[in-house]
Amino acid sequence: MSELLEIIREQLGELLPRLRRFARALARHEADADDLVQLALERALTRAAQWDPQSRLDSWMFSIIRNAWIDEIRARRRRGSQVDVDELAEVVGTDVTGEQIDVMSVQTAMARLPEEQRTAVSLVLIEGLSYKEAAAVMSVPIGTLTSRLARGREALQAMLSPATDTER
Amino acid sequence: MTIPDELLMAYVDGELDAPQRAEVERAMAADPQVALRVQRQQALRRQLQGAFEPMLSEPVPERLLAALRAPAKPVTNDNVTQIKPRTHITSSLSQWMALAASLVAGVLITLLATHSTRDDWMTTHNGSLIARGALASALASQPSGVINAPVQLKFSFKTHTGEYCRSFVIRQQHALAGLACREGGEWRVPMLAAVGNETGQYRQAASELPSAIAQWIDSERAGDVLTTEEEHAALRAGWGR
Repeated sequence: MSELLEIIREQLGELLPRLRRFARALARHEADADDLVQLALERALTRAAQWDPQSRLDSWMFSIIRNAWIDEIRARRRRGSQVDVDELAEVVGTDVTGEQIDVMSVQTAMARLPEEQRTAVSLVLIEGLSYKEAAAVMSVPIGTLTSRLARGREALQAMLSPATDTER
Repeated sequence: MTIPDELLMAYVDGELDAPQRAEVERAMAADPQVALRVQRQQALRRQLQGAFEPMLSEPVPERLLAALRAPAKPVTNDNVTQIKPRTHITSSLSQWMALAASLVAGVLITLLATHSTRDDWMTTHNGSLIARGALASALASQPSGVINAPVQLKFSFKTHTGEYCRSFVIRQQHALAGLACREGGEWRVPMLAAVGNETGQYRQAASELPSAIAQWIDSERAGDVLTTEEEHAALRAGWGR
């Protein structure tokens, strides 16, 4: 058990940058995202025995992060607070180079996607999970995943269309 | 023939088998519109990856590295349990609290039984722990910060649903730390933890709140901890909403 725990710790260390990135796609704010990762690390270490060493640790961690995020959304809804997408304006800022504007616009577009589409897009297009793995992380059938992915992509295309069209 | 978007997306995502791939590639060769649609999907994929790639080289905050190195502490050392999941205020921690509860409930029950603290301080009602006796009176009338008392109140705060909660430590051989929230004229105890247990690997200062309780408070409290004046006013008003 403690040997498994050490293996998990070591692999989690290597995964940390990706876990933070996934959490950032979900939570949108860096501090919230890191809170999420911290909670997920604590949960993972507590439940290390539940991880099947034959399965992918990243998928397992993505599930834990996603569940923690869903809990957080429910808690926020209950207390009536809502994350305002326009808060991102302060992150985007105005005095940035063209390249950064492009980068920010992708993240802003992502931030505007509905929760489930954003998660699907992040898992498949950014984290590179297969449909099967991503569906397992989200606990949905593959058909549900692919339709969320398709709708997410269409919405992103629509929001980013000038940049996408001129890129090629 | 028309090729559905989802097939092209699956192609770009590498999800197709060889015959399906060949079919898409034939369609791309035959129809520039199909080729353009595929290119757009590829461009979007690249754009997303490009936008999120730089995050991977950001330095990882120390607190995350610390969380990684920390022993699986909340369960093993703090002996934290959540007596009953709150129905209308469910902490984001509730899931692992439930796990913690399942692991340490036995420990706690033994603790309560062997030191007969339960009758002195709390009673069970409908599966919840309710403060009684000296604990109930201290919660109702004792200001936070008084040190020389069997029950020490640490601080008071309001939750997002407007209830008052107070954190407390019961000083005795096996100290108990917990949280009590005012509900329906009673002090319900949603969380209770054994602290300063000398049989543990190290001894935690009995005056400190276990990290799990501190985290619960952080996630549930609305606004700051009550000031001395605010607390005094709430105390005089009988802790009503």
